[in-house]
Amino acid sequence: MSKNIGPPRWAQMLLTKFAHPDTVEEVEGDLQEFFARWEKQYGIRKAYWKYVLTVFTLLHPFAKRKYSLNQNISISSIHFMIGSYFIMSWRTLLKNRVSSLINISGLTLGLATSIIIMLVAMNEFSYDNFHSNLSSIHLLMKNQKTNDGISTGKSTAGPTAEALRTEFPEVKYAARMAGFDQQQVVVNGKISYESGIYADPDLFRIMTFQPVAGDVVGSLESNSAIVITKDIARKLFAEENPIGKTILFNKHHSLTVGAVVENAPSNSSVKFNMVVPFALFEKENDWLKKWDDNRIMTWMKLQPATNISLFDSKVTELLQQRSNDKTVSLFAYPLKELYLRGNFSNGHPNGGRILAVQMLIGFGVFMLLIACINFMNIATAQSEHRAKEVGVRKVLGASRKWIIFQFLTESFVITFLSLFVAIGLAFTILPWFNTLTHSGISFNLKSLTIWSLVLSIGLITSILAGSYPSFFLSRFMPARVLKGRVATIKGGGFRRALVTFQFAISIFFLISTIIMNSQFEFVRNRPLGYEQENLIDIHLDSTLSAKFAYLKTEVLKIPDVKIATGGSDNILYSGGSITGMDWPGRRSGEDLSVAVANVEYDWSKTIGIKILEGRDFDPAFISDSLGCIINESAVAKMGLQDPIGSVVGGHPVIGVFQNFVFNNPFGTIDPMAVYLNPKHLNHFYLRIQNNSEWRQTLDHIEKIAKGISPDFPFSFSFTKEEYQHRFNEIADTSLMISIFGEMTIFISCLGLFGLSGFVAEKRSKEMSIRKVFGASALRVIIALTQDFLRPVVYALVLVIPLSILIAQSVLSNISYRVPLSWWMFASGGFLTFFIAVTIVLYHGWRTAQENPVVRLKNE
Amino acid sequence: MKRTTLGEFEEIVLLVTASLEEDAYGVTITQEIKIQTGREPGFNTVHTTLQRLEEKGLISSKMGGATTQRGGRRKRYFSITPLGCRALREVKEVREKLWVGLPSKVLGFSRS
Repeated sequence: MSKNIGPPRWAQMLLTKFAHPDTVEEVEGDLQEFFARWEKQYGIRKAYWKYVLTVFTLLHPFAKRKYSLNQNISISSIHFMIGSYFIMSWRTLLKNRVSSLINISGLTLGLATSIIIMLVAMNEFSYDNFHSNLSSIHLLMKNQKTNDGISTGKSTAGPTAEALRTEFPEVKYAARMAGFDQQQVVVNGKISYESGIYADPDLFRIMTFQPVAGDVVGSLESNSAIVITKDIARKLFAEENPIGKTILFNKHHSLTVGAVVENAPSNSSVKFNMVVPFALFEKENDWLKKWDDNRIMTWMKLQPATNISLFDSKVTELLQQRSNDKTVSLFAYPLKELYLRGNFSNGHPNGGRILAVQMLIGFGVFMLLIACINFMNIATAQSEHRAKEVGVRKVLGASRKWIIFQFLTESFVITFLSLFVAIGLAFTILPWFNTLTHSGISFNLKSLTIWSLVLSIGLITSILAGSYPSFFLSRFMPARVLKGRVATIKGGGFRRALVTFQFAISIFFLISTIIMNSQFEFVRNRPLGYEQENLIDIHLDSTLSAKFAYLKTEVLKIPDVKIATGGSDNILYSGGSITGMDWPGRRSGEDLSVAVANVEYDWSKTIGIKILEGRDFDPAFISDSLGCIINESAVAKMGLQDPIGSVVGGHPVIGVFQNFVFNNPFGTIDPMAVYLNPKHLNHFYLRIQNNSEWRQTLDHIEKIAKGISPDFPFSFSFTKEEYQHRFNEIADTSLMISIFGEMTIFISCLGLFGLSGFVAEKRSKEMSIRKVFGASALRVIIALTQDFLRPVVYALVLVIPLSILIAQSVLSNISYRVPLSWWMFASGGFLTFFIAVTIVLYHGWRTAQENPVVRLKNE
Repeated sequence: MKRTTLGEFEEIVLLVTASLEEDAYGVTITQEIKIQTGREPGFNTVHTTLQRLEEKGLISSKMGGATTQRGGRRKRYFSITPLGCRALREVKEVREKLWVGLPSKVLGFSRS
């Protein structure tokens, strides 16, 4: 044996690959012989080169090549063939009605869901994309160190923008922005209440809102002009030209309309109806001059090459020089991340909506996958029917490539048929979906992106669904198939694996749905710590709030009103929280974020909050106006041994009240301090008699309120309803996921129904023979069903431990969480198992009932 | 019937194939051409010429039996067809006719 004495390998390979297939054998042989001769004659080197050279001259483009017969397919015959494949697909579709129906309905549901999910995701991803300089727009955000870690917020101090503009070359523009809600607007004596923003003119240099008329930046610079949107212009001025018209804003600012802009797009993080010069807001609020009062938003447009982390540290340094509060650091956060990745944990971005979006996309993919698996399973189960066809085709000269192509055509036809129905379905579902989930998704028929995405979903689905069946069916050997010996169904193992996978996903979704619902139920039934029944919240304007004492006395004269109080905040949401409070026993560096609210006498009694220690504010003690009452959580977090009498944040504690749920019903209850302050009470709370006369009572109150402030629109809400409403909004996501979960199970069961039907049919002869030999109906059912229930059992065994792990890790993010218990998993598993058994039993029962003669006579 | 023209190299390959009788395949034909004419054609030239001749129907080919030589690859043996024989004869006849009509002084020697 000598080492590598033969011709070069690579050249040989080249020859086999590219030389003419008809003559390659002898050419290879001849060349090898030549090589041996050349080697003897000229030595290995020259032989080598001669060989390579000759190989190259023999490669296809250089050597003359005859066309072989089977490659000589003309273009027109290819057209004919593809046409015939479509016809064949259509006929198969019609011939196997049940399986076609199962395939199409499964795929339709999967595709329709995917289309809707795609629209939702596109809407989410489109947020803020309309700004022309999106990548350079940043919001200045703050990180504040507290006892519970770093809390991140969007509001910053008033003077920051000015400093950024003048002292930082990186900042091209900086603008302050603050929102306002329901301010009085008077046009031609007509009163309405609008919400909008106060903003510096630079905001419109930073962001892109299309102007309709007038000079937007110029108007805001003038400090006496206002910018309104198209909708508001139409509402206030109807068809008149609004430019130059006067608006009386908030009772004492007479402003002219300087410009009209297009409505802020629905996918904008910054929304407004009107824009009022920030200077007006600044004039009225002294706190805007303070460096440690963080209440407004600061937007910036940065130079393209800005080093963000360097900028962050520079801004933080600036702030810490000028502010007394050393716990705050600032950073620039890009607007393009703000919407989808707006959650922060301990000062670092930590997902946000993107998680939900990713989850939804995952759902869509899995649903499609399940539908594809249905297609694969049914197609391969049908293989026996198709095997002969494949055999005959092969005998007549079809290559495997063409058989694969044929079956792909079939899946293509079915998928696009389903896609067609799915688009219609998505269209009809969408309005219903929008109301259900309170979203505004639309199917824009003119959008090329949507159509191309829809088409690519269809294409990918058809290839995915058709790949395995075509691969599997094209493998048949014609000789064996035509002799009728395919009885051993190959591919059964893979099919069982697919069914297992399908059911694993379905069970997982079902268990998630169960856990999610019980979590929501758990929170819905959370003891709130106060009494929501018959509690009414009446909104006050500044006039009413100034005459609060009078209002209260008058209202209390109404017999059905039991008790009343006032508050600065809605009981459901506590507006502001402050840091930097001092308390006895506070270690240096320790800080707490404490929710604060101003209230009036009888607060705890009206709302129904229990006072645990001390007492509520009492008119008998004049000094109470300096005191405060705090919640249990504050006592615990501050570690107060003897809370009554201790001074917290400069106010002596006179009472401790029981924790009640506010802000996030899923979260822990934050520390709260409540002060007696009859000024700035925006909410009038009263509890009425529980009877059907409540409407009259409220009419009465409205009369009193109109007597004090005739312009203000009387509005009220039942706290219980408001809470439920808000809760339902949060529950929307869970509802969406439940629907998807149920749909996956439905599709899986559809598949199982089809598959078990096929196998029952195929084994019907066997079952008939068994019966002839005396097998009982039960025996027949068992024989038929066990084959199918095994995958379901495997799926159960596989998925339950997995879902326990996932549920635990997901729930650990929620502080008020439902304890996991075995029944959640068991019921999910049992339900799936039960459905599967029912489906399989149906076919088993039918076969068992059949008279054996029916099946056996025709042979 | 269409007359098949025969190129000069084709003629040589055809002649050599005929002369080798049972042992005519790529390698031997190439070798024989070298020995007989002193020319050294590339294998590819011989290969394509053989293919062309086969297309024209002047030679036929069949695969030989499998052997252990040449890595088990079979040889393709070529043999001349009656049509090939006729083509050769025709060429020869034309040449001979031309030779006969050639004045002896032209080439500087006499036919004796």
